[in-house]
Amino acid sequence: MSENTFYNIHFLLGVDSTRNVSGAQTGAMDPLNEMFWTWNSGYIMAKMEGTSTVSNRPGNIIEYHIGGFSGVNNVLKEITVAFPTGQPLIIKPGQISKIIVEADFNKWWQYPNELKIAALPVITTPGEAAKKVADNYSKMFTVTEVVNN
Amino acid sequence: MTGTLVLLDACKKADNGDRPSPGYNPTFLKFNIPAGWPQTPIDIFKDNPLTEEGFQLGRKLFYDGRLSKDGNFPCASCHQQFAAFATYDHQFSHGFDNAFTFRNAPGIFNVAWMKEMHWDGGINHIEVQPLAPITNVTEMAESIGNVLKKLNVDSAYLRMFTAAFGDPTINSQRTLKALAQFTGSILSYNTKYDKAKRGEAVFTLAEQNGYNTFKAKCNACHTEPLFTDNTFRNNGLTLDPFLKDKGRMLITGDPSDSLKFKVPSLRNVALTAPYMHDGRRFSLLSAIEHYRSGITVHQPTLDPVLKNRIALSNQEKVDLAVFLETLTDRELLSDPRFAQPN
Repeated sequence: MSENTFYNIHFLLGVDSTRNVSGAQTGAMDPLNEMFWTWNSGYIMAKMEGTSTVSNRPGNIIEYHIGGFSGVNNVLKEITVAFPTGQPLIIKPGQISKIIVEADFNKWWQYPNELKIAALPVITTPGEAAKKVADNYSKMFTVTEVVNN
Repeated sequence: MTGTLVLLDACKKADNGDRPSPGYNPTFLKFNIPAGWPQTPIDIFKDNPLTEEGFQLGRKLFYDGRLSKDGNFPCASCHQQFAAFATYDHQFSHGFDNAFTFRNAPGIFNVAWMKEMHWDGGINHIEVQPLAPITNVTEMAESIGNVLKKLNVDSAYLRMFTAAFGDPTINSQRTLKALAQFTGSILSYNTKYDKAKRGEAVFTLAEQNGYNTFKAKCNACHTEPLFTDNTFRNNGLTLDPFLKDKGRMLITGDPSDSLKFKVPSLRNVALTAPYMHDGRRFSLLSAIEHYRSGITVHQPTLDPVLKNRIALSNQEKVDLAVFLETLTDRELLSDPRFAQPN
């Protein structure tokens, strides 16, 4: 196995716990980006907002702000996604390779925890419901194609 | 001449990357822990070097109404120096559009010793605290983006950010760090109590008696020398049916934290009536009386040290109030360094 050949990708979805307790951050973690909770310090790791006809909230709003970085409410997800069988990523000097990652948003509500929008149109605090959504979205990713040049 | 050079150098920022411009020459300050005090849980200035320029920028921001939506609510509107940076004589403070705040405004001093801020401990670092009042619709009701827009068109701020940080970039991180330099520098350590401890003053008999009672009956939670142990406890108040404020549980989601609130420091307590997280007790004596007779004992999360209330004679109660008056820090209240800048 060459060390320039890769069979999967591994990443952390969310902001590592240290950066949640280290004061004002900038760049991608600037609170201007509306991914930081002002009343309960910590980052929103994933956010989905929109409308659904089955939501009983004003304007049929659905709003999921999924966060929590410590203890039992931790939603940080280390995710490993395998590349399609027979399609390793091969990185060579001077060449650009690509992986195509798809996220299936239906999984947000579906697997392994089946969640009903009608019952749970809004989640904006750390806790059990947020953890279920995080379990689900951590499984939404697939690599559909690897392009080696 | 120097100012001109700084601005010219700052224009070359793109060439320098993050390096401060050559004309950047701030005056570094030392954060001194008063003798005999515990170390702070973290060094709040480790990633935010304390400078005179950063402090003065934070001071200007603290007193600037433009941090609020309509210009009327600077940080200082609820955190008044003459009230040890609490709101004087208000159960709740006033915010944007005639709103009341949700809780009684705490004083700002000795913040460097707090691992968490707010009555519910929801804030885990001094630098991110201002985000809460700035964006809260009942307080300053503004967005961070709008605050930055307002600051960016003020040449005085461009100069002050340059002096504090080496170039004129005004962003949320620098704004928050400057505010932390100001608020983190506010210390209360020159009360009569402190002076008596240092041998610079002598307690009266009533003060000494009150201090003896304090040490025997209050010190477990309101621990010297900060006069708080910065823990969260249920002190026997019942749930207010309108506010429905469950305190720490709002942050942790843990039912065992229901009705727990941060133990407030008793420093400057004589100035910060009314008392408790919702200003429910209107005078110092009624706050003391709460612990003698007002605690609702049949509560699952009541702090164990209060399960039998606190036995106090009438004499002890009055002496205690007299002692608490020695915790007023008059030097802090009139220190021009923390006053509204000209």
